Amino acid sequence: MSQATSNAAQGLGQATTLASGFQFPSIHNFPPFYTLQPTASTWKNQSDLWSTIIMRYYRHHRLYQLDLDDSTTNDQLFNNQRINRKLKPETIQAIVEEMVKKGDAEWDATSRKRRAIIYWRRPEDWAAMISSWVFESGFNNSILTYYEIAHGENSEDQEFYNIHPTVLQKTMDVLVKRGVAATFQGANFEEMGVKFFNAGA
Amino acid sequence: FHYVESIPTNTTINETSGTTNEQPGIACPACTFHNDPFMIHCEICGTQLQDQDSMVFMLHRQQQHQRSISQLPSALSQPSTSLSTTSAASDTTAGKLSAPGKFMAGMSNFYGGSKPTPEDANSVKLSFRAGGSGSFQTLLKSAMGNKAWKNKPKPRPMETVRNQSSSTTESGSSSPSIQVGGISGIMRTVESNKKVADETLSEAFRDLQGLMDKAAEMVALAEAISNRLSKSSNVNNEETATFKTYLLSMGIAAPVTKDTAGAVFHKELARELVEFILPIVEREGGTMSLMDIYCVFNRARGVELISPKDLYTACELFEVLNLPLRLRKFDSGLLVIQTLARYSDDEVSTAITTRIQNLPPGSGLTAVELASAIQISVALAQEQLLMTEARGLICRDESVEGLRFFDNLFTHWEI
Repeated sequence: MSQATSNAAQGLGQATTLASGFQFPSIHNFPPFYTLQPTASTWKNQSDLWSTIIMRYYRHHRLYQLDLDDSTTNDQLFNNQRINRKLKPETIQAIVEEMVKKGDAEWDATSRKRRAIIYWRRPEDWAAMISSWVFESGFNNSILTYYEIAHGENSEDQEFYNIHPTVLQKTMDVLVKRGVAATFQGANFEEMGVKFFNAGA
Repeated sequence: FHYVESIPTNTTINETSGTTNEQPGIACPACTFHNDPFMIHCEICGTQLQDQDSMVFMLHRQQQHQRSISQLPSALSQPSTSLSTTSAASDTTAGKLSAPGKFMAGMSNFYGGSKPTPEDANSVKLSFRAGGSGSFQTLLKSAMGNKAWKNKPKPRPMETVRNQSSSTTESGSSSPSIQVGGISGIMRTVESNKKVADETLSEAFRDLQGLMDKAAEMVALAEAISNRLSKSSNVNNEETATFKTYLLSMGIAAPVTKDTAGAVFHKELARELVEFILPIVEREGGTMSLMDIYCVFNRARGVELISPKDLYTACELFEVLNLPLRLRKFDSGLLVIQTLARYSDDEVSTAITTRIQNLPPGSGLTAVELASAIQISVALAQEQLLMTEARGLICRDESVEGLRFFDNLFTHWEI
């Protein structure tokens, strides 16, 4: 934290705070932060910082998908009007690419690297969270639909409420692989069912 | 301006009479080399051997050539007598051979044998048969040592012109009366054209000759003043220093030229360059672009200008000659001269990083700003910034306002 104090002394000014309560770190006001750094080591540090900010932002706003063509989110996250700098789409793409390498994100296979899921929680973490919720709520041995998990009344106060379908599917894959649950085909994605076994607890 | 004085490297020696008929084979009419009877062209100089017309042509060229030889230093101007005598004498002592005139000069560039390369243009090929090279070398060395061509009184420009113009009128008046057709007629025309061209040239450069004479005096004057200044130390120091820099940029007393240095021209040039430029490069912070050096150096050389290629070649020799400067090519293609040890990349990048860190918060540094701050060229400043950036010490901000460099805050930032 002493580092943060000396960072503030760099004259980057007070960190921006959004209406949503999200506070950017003051590096967000550093002009070179918006230029893809050609030096490899510098770029690594820079993309790491960006990926941290992206994950924090997505967690804060419970967002899952980053879309290069979605200007609303990107304008808030990647555009700093105070210093009149913004990330170019190709730079954002390069940052996400770095995140994919580390497992913090995953490209939507059909999107030609225009959309990516941001894993501010890994599927393994979601799996642990959902299964403990299932057992605590006594839903084990009964079949739950994906809709009930993601949008049901019982999960309204849970962090995985409104979870992105892709993330949910990845989470279920983890649970099935562990032998904790079994999935059942439904007519569409939301009618897919899942049954948690006692043994998994 | 080399045409004015006779050039020692162009010393050509020709043997026209002597041993031709005693030996089998065909004597080359140009260089007297004894070729195999079946040869059509001379092995040494490439002259055609068996065509009568070309023999006439060559003889004519030969006469022309001998005229040019007669302008050479006296020691070398009468090769067939003085040289053959010496070689005969040395051969007698050697006790092996006695026939005079055992060397030939092959002037491939003169007589159009092989295609002349730039190196050929100032050189002659001497072929010695049955010895005599040693004595020739001795004689040549003494002539070079005496600088015999310097003793020759300089023709005054006016005289030269008058002589030439009179000779032109002579040839002009005589040529119509003779009315020779064919090759000799063409030769005559060529020769008279050449004379006119010579005249035009010498007239055009007469003023420059005067300028050169004056320039030498100016350099001598500058030296004298500088000597006097260094003796009297009580003069205002700052003024003296300023004046000295003026003098420094004004003159290299005896610039190395292709005439004086010959084959080692580029090596000598490299040495002279280092001697002259080293203090300047150090004053400029250890690095100067080659273009700047070219300007400063040529200004100091006065009228003995050198070509960019000569400078580049000389700079390439720094390493071979173990001189304290190095030519460096940046990735962008920019060429600079750097001092060897004192200003390494480490020091430059550290200095730049410190400079950037000490800037007011939030403001970066552009190449132009750096260039004006430490008095170097913008291209060089740019290169230094990029080098520092590549070391991960600074980072860039590319915007519509241009490229600015900032301290690399990413390295230690923790969030």
